[in-house]
Amino acid sequence: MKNVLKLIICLLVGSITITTAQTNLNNIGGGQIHGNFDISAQYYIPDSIIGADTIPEKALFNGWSAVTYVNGKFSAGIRYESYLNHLNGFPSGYQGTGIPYRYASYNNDGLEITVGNSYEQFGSGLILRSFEERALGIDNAIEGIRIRYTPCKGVYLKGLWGKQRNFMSTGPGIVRAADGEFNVNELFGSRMENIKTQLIFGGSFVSKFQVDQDPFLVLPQNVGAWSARTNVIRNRINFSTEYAYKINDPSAANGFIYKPGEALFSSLSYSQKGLGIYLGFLRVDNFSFRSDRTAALTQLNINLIPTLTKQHTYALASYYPFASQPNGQTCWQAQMDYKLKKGSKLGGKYGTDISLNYSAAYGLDTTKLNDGTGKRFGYSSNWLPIGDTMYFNDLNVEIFRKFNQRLKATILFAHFIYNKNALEGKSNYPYINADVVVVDVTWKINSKLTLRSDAEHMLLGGKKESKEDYGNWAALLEELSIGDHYFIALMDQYNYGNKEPSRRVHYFSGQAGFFKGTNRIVLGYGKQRQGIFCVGGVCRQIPASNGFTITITSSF
Amino acid sequence: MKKILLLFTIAVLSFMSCDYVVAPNQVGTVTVPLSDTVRKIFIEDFTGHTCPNCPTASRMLDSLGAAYPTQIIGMGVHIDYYAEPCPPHQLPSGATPGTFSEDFRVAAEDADYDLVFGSNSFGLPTGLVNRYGFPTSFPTAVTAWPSTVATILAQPMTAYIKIIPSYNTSSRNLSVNVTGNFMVDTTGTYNIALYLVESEIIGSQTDITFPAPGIDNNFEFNHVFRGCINTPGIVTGETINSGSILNNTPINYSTTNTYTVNPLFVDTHCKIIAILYKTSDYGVLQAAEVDLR
Repeated sequence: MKNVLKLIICLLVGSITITTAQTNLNNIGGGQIHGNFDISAQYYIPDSIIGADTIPEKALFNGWSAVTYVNGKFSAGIRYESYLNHLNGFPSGYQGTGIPYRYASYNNDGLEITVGNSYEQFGSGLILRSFEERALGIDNAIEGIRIRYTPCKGVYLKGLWGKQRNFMSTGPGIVRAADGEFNVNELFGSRMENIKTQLIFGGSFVSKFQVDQDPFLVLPQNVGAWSARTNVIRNRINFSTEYAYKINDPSAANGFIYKPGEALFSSLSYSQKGLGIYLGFLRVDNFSFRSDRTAALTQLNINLIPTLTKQHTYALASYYPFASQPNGQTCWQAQMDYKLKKGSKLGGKYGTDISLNYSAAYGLDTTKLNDGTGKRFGYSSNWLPIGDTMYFNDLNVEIFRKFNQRLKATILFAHFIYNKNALEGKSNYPYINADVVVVDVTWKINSKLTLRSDAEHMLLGGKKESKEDYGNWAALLEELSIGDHYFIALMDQYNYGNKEPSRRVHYFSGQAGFFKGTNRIVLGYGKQRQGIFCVGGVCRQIPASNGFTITITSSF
Repeated sequence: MKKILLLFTIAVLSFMSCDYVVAPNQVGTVTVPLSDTVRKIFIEDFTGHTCPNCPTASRMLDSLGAAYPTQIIGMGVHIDYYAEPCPPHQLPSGATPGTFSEDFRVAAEDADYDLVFGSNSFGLPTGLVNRYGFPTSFPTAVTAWPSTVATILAQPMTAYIKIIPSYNTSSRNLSVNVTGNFMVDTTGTYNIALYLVESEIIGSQTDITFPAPGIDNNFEFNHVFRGCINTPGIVTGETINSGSILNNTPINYSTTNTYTVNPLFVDTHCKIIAILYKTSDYGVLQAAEVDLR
């Protein structure tokens, strides 16, 4: 009961609690300050052949610096950001300088209250995930109040109320959210000691408010979404699933239809020494959830629909990435990791890792409804069969082997089928079939020098596909590490199969870097091809560029 | 524990709510003022004739025009890949040879649109509604145009402009005066841009709402952007005022160049559009439109 009273008091007079906490801090000495610094700048040289535009400023710059102060149960921080002007291809909303991220937090007896900006995720993020992904220009931190409360072991409650960051300001909508998670084994403690199965249940509710001023439609000003999830762990098996539902949420993303949305994300994994198996399934139907119904691209997303495709890191293997489709998709993924034993004939002295992965994404099976003057659901959909439109397919195998103390290598083969029309909003493109081979060898020459060589090739299948897209590519990377403080890297990506001979361009680039402690300085020069860059299924267009770059990072 | 859960549930449900909408469409018509001294909305519709979803934007412009008579001024800006005239090997599937030969692009102006607004990276169809939201949340998706229009119209009018054209039908030379006044105290730099648009052009357009192969060979292209009048090749126009500006400050602008209307344009189908905007965020204070002749 004591905890209940504390919860009520904190919910109702959170600000008073914070004030009191801060007052008490005056009596606490010590504390630590941490920070980091990160700038990226580029000098641009126009290049009409690769499509690198003339940049009026000639040089552009992004900079961030975060400072955090921690003193016992109290912490506070700010992040200064500067875009003068933002790097080419970065979301154009980032302009000028400011301190768009700042917070103060106090944690006492299981109750943590944060005022200002905070990041949060409920479950797998189907109905709420606020996060920063700097490379994509995404920061949807929620500015307001966040409360986390653990009344007893095994019970975890969260609540937040605020507006989402929208570049250098906040969006128009208000987000209200609550989440509860219950770990049964922790909750019942000793009574569950002999039970091998771990059970975790959770549930979330998120509501957004945005005023309705539409002249044609009656828009819901309050839109709610809920989800339920569970995680069952027994021995080497881990099963988790989450189902989410959203009421009518007409928005620019879904064409202002009133159909409710739903999403299901399930995964099953098994692991033992030398073997890991993962199976995943995701179905999403009309589940774009934003705090501004007119927002587009990566702006003001309340949730994040995960992707079930492998995140390739090699340049050509990531040439055709899959972008998660919140309006509708059915995806699955299977992966098996197996280690050939050390000392065996096939495994060699150190063993060999083999990873086999398959993922596919399809559209939904939908029927268009002509109900524009009625309910405006737009379409109806079925769970089965899945839709006819394939978005993406990736079958890949990756083999890693360490030959001796100085030599190790990775070989990757991947076959992609990519629907450029669906994923990039193009028309009249056939499915793109691409086969990618990567050979990545690292050779430790001596105690000071390590050379990494990475050769890649992408072959587009069929004459038609080769004509329609940019054709075949080859790439070579040579990276030399010198001691613990320096590296030099040279890379060439050659679009030798482009249907237009004048565009069979070498994209040369080079980098040199210096590290000392937490300081890192990297200078570069070269061409970057136009493309799509994705992290976790969220993508943005990268324009072609040519010029000098400098990146400096540091932390303390 | 039960009490905690109950309290948590009550807390969640008490401060959150959902609005289920059973009848989404508004009943009745929107009441709008009809006099000339009302706020007018300038919508730049970025489009292309091989963009199958773009007719949706055109129809949305028509719907908004019907909902807000005299207050919506549209301009179809044909850009980039989807606006290229199609040689035979690039014709949309099912198209008749010789169709899609029209080129509504305006090379220099389109390049300037890309420079200022990055229009070549827009996914079509899309638009700028009074250039609202620049630079943080633009362009505006077609489905969001109504909400954005309503948001802007809910704001008080801050300037009034009127176009007085002088057009010689023989030489086809055009000069333009723009008069009016600011209606608030303000600061900043303000530009006037003048655009020529042409309507009633019949041509081919892919249209996703048409039966297969989804091509309308009798599509009527309206308010097609034909060029900048006062600053050819530059979409940002000329500065008319800057610094501190008082309420009732008059606006009196005349073109200094002689603009000749292309003889290929049907001048009886052409209109002149004027916009007054603030240069710091491109936000349009007021727009006006008048027939060329």
